[in-house]
Amino acid sequence: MRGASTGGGGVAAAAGPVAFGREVAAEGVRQASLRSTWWCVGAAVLGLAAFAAMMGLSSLSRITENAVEADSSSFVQLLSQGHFYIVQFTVLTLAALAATGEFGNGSVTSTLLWTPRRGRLLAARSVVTAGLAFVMGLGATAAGVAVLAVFLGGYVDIDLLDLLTTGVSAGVCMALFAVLFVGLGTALRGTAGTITVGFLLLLGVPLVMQLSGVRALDDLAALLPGLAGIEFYAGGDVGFYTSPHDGAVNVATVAGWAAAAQIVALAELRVRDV
Amino acid sequence: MLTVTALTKRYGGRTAVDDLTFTVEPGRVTGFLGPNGAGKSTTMRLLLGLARPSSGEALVNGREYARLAVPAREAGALLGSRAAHPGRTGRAHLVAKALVTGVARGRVDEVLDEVGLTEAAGRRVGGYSLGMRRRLGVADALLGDPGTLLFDEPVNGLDLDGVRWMRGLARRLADEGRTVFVSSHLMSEMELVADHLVVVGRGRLIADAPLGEVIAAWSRTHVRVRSPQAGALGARLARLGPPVRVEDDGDGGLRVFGLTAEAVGDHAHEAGARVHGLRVAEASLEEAYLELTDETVEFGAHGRESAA
Repeated sequence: MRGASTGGGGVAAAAGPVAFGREVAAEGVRQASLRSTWWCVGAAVLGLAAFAAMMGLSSLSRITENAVEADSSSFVQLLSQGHFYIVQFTVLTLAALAATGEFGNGSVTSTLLWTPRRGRLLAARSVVTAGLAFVMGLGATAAGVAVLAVFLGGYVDIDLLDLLTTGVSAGVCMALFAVLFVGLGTALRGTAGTITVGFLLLLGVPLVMQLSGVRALDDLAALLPGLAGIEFYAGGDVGFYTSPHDGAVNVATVAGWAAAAQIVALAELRVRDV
Repeated sequence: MLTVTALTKRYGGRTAVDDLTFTVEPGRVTGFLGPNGAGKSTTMRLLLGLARPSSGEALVNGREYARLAVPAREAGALLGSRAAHPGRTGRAHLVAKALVTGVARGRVDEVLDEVGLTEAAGRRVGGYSLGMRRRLGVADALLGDPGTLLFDEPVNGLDLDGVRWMRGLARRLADEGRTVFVSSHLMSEMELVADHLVVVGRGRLIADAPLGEVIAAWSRTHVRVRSPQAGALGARLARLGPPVRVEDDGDGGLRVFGLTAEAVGDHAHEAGARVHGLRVAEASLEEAYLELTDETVEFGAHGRESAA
């Protein structure tokens, strides 16, 4: 009979932080091994670069017609709008796929066999997706700056520190979005549903609330993650009306959404059978 | 070693697993037999912590699977053929698993070699055949070198080579002293691979015994005799009493249990009954199983009423 101590190929029980580190490494391999992950990263960077090219070109034609226009061509404003219209949706897709892909194809049972502590899996998945989303926010900003500089470098003063702040803020915000949507996806378990709800939270619902013309609803829209997010990474220089609030309250709002989604996801993942 | 005690699982109003109690011992292949929908897969999922029992316990080595220090070291499982993400390569699937529990990377190559997937390891699982996916699932189950293995319908859909390979694997793992628990709805498969049987129907335990005992207990071998004077012959045979038992087949014939064909012929002669047909009907284990589980088939095409 096989003894209890026969070789386990180096398998050993690990303490909390070590086990979490291993889970993060495994989740890294799981996500990096999927093409869809890299499509999302590429879409963020190339998407913002294309957006910057379009905006750069139109700003350039305005500036060449009237040099005074150069003052109003803010890199931060243009890049933030690019994040709002493009990058945040690539992050939504990435997070939705990370959270729901394994539910869709059934491989989640196999993953949970190796990590029966479901909270640990959710945490690792959130950390890895947030890391990628940070890179997407920062990388897309860098690509956008480079493209804008090609078109407008000769006319507009470039404040690198300002742009670095925008890049890091966008990265942080995208990371929080990733945490939010990994939570949402884990709770919903369906890719289409997650992307739909995410789209509504980021763009659809706040747009409708602002269109309502009711002041209270308009102000409330600023507490949805999409608008609070852009207000944060644009540093108040959004270029369209978003929010009566400035500063830290916006990033706190996004963090609150992320935390709420994680709590729901954890509760749901723990009690529901797979 | 698996221990299931008074295990019950309800989904809404439907009871998938109903007060099951059995143990699965190491060193032998235990077959988990039952028709489709009998609760086999649910029981395995309950054992592996993928679903929660409504009541009762399902334990691996005396503990809940999710509470084991290193679960993959103690139990490995093959559940269907959807274990790996189709967009991932076979190797990436296993490497991620190795990372989780700190299994040495070399072990990944070992199990890939063991299941014959070394060549295909760099390809995405979406392009694998069913047999290859099943082999990857086995590699996954073996990766942590666990003492207990659960295979859910492992031969379903496999070609003959795959079926043979799977049988040999189950046998070898049991011979190494591991606990091997293999589910199937195919009696014939169980006859070939199992040492011990746990039989379920509609979530309830029907039998838990060594294979030989189940065969003996279920044996329905009997003599069929056709005669225009079946009534008189039946009455004479019935008077013999146990172990002889007579059933009317409702078609001018009798089923006689507990007598040889020669003895039945002699009794017919004594009774003056003309014999139009006399033969031994060898009941296979398959038939016995079908009869036994007929009342318990969840999604049976027709509800044959039991004479009992």
